Amino acid sequence: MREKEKRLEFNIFAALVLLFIGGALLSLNVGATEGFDEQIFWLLRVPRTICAIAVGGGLAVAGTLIQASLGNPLADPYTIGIASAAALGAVLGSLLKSHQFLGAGVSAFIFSLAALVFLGFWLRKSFRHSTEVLLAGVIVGFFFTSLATLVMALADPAAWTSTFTWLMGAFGPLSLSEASATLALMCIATVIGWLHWKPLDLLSVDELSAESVGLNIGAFRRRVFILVALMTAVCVSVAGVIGFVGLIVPHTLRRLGLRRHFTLIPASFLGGAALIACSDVAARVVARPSELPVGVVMALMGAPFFLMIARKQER
Amino acid sequence: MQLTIRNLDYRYPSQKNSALSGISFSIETGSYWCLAGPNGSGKSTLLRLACGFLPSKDLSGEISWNSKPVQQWTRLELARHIAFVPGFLKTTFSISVLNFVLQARYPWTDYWSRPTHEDYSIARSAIDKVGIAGFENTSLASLSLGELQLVLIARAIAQTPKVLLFDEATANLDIKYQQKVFMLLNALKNEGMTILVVSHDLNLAAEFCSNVIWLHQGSVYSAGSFEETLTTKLIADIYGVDDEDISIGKNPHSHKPKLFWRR
Repeated sequence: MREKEKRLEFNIFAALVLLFIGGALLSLNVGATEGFDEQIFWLLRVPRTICAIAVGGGLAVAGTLIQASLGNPLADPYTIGIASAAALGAVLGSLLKSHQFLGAGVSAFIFSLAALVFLGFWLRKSFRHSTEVLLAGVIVGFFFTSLATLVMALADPAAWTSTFTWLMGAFGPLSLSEASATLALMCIATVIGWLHWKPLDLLSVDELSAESVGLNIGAFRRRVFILVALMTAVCVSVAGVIGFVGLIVPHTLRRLGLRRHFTLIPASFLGGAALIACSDVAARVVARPSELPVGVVMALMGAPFFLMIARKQER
Repeated sequence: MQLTIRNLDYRYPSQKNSALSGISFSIETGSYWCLAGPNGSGKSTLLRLACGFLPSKDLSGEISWNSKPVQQWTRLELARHIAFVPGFLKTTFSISVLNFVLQARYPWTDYWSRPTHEDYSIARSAIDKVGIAGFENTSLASLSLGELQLVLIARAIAQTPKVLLFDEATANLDIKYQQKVFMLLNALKNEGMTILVVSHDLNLAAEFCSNVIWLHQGSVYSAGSFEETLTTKLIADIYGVDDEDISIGKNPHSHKPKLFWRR
């Protein structure tokens, strides 16, 4: 039986690697223009593909981490509202016009961490009730999205359309070095998360039984919160608010049979990266020559999926 | 491992009244105790305090294992000596029975290391011991409550502790599993484990446990053997039932005390 489990895990990984490579190649080769233009390729598509991989992988891993550590199957950076908080942070940060990328990222991190800490205090120990967490998350999310929209409208009415598109989740123009830095950060964060596979395994089943084998839940959650806030902040400042990746990817992989975080976390990264890369291709192609926000494509797929899980939870 | 509790007071930070007050008792190594009392009398709180799950800043008095206060133990050290059996499981994400039992090796292994062959064999023998060998690859979510209770015990055994604290041992179990659980605990006691079990099934506890602590509104009402402490007055006082309605007799086979409803 152990052999069977290992073979299943190997097969899933092989499929994910293929999907990942396929998604990346597709994203490199498809765009608004037909044919190959070297300048477009290096200046636009390569950074954009790297971004899609980093953001998709990062958000999926963040979702896996937060679901396991809260023991809440409906949690992801979007549903618990921290992505929206990060968006407000990023908007405020870029208004301050320090170095755009860095300034927005740091202030997004502060805001998403603050939102998580706030959620933690508000809910105290009741993180275990998924409905309560979601309720709080929805309120927090709406509040921060509205604030971000308000700030943008007041600060720069001329840039309204582009900033609004960003808020819906879209890859803006980024340099190759910025894109690579994002990818590097997400990879490091994923590895750090992956090193915690044991407590994640414990908490994803049950809180009390995790406590009884010696896990200090409070201290562990604090560590995971910082990591998740960091990942969310970077993803949001690069690509706006993209929902549901952190929900769809780990749930699908779990359903396929990856139960242990030792395999689930790297698999989430690959799966999330492939999913966002493909969605981004779809976002570029569907309304050619104009472009859809990738967040819209994700929401179209994610919302029905979310309902499915929520219904299953109720039963 | 010996548990000593002296003048224990505990209040949950969010509540006005104390959950426990003036608790003192001690449990000798290798004994089999029952913790009994009505719902809300502080049984679970007491168990959790003894495991070090609740922040020690809210308690006064002393809880110590082998005369070392619980605050001075690290969580992992405590987990190597004491296994807490929760009595229910939320199972947010389900895993196989074997992997769940294997998790009990957490306090004994390095943070990063994968489970070794030894860990696997400890987990397998624990599963054999409780008699659920056929369920190794079954998902937790598809077990019945009785099977789940046995899995929880197997997990506690795989933790290789010296003490077992068991919350709500037989809640929701049918009589076959009730007996099985208490027999298993008895076998563990005979191997030298110290056991403290919370149960609402007084007659079953009276058959197996050597001693009992009766909790009432956060204090110890009385403690000692079932023969000495189980009286109609006690049941009437702490559970609030009419003492006309009950009587205490004896099990004709084991001669242990038994609570009867007169009507």
